[in-house]
Amino acid sequence: MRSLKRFIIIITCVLGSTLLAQDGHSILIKMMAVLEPENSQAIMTQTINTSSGEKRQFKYEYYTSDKGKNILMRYTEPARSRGMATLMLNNAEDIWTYFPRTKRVRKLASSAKHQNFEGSDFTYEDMGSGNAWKDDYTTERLEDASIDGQDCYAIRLTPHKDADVSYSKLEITLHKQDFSPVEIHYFDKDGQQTKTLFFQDIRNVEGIPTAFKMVMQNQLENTSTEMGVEEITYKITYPTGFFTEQELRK
Amino acid sequence: MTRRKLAAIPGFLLMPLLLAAQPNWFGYYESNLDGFGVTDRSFVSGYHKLRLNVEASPSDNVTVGANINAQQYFGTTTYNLAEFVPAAVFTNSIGSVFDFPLALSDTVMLDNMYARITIRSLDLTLGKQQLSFGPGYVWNPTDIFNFKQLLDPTYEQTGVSAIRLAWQAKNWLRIDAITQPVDTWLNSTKYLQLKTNVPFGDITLNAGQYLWSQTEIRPIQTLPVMPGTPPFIIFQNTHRRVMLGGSFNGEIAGVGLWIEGAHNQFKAESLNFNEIAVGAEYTFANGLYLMGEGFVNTDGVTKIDSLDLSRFLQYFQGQIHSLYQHYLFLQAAYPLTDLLAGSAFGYINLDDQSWVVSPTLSYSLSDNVMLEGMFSWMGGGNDTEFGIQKWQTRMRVKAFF
Repeated sequence: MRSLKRFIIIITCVLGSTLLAQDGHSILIKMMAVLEPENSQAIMTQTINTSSGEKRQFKYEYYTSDKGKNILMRYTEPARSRGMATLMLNNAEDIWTYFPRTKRVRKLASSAKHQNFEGSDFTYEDMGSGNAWKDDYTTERLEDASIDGQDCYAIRLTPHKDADVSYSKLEITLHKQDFSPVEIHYFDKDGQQTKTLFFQDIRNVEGIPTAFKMVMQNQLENTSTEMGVEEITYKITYPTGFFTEQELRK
Repeated sequence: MTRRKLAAIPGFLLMPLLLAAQPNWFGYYESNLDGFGVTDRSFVSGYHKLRLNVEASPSDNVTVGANINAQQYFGTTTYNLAEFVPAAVFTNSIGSVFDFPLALSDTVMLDNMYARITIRSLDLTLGKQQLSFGPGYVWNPTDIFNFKQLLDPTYEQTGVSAIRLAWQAKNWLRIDAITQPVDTWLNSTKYLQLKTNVPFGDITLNAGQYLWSQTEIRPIQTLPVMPGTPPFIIFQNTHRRVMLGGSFNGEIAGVGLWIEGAHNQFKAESLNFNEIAVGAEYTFANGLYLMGEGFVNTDGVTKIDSLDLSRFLQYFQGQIHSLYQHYLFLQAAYPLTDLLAGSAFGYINLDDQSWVVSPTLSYSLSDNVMLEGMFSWMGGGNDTEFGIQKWQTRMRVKAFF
């Protein structure tokens, strides 16, 4: 009887811990809900720290819908880039750019998807394909970590064989408390770590933990790009046809 | 009241509206210094240019904008066309080479002036506005409004006085309807583009109808010519032109592809011609960008014997897309450092075998200031399109504000 009780306790503990435990995929899904809310509208700044020590500063309007599947970005500063806009649909599978000087819209080939965005350390893929991670990558949970005294999950994303991605793996740490990401490490096809994205100054905006500062450090080029949030809201709905050429041209 | 004064009236009406609606002022300053050599001479010329844009939104769904170009030339400002055109072309047209001066004069021009009204997914733009069509980089058979400069195909285009209705009917369907009114509806330019996006690219269907004005030059053969007066007359010929075309802009296996073509139909069948541009681009992982575009214009000539001065004048005035029938454009670009980009482009005239190669360096002096240097070599011989000019240099500084 005593051994039966012990057996039941052990089974309950094992089952309970299994049910409560987060596997890598479910952690990723919860992180994506934080990283890519249903809709958003923001004014962002971007500072590129070049290897030559120069700083290049940009400001842009940023609109997303359908959990980041559709993105429209329009530069407002500097004057040289004013009006330049990029539309990314289907998690950056389809990219169009608008050049105000010539008033032309061009569709970019997917080879451009892996290129740096406006000379920054972010590629079009980094900017627009976040929500495709759950389809393009296999997720496994790594040993938990502690960053700045806060308990964090750690997960590794390895791309499927046929996925059109630039990286051989991504390693992500995120807060256990609210699933907001802390760091993302990017590894190239040779397995070498090339970039790290840091999420900083996390504030609660309309119930969603939001990093007001994101710094992408490029270990290979010795450059970095800092993105800052000036204004952001998630309580936004877009009219039909917003993520189209019509809006891109405005 | 003169036509110029009449044309200025909408500007005066628009200006108070612009100023009352907290306008944004922006634009750029550009200085351009060119040096170039032809058969036995070289020239230095250039310009300073200020482009001032103003844009305002007096209400949520109305945008009003205008821009002014002020351009001042220096160095050589009068050219003799005879030095840039193969002698055979003069012989073909008017019997002998004749001095043909072309002068550049300082300008202050209201380039664009428009009001855009947005009603849901419909944009109505009235006034002088930039219109650009077609995915082609250098050549756009479906664009009846613009003609690009070969050495600078991405330079901004001059505004067109028109009424444009752009309707995003569906996420996958956009309709552009444009008219450029002139004296009668029949003579007014009408243009329509249907654009859809399919999974592998964008497809357009284009149609246009307009009065095509062509500059013609004819020798005076029947009348005695006074000594010193030109032995030719210049006049404008107009033809009603119907353009039916289409384009594709997409990719196959990661390579960007575009095809743009048009059939141009006239009342006189002998004038009918077709144009097609086909291009491809690819960006390598290291940032190297390669692009190529080919162009066929059945209206063009294939031999210098068929090339006349009228065609040259039409080309210089942007009335035709090319002199000859077959061209190839190639471009490579590579970011050398964060601030310095190197590129090179080249053209080959496949009919007369002449060519241009132009390496270019662009340097970002700051976020808003660009320096650009270009050197072009031309070859092929004095009796060819590109070969008559031997070389060209260009230094340009552009500061945006």
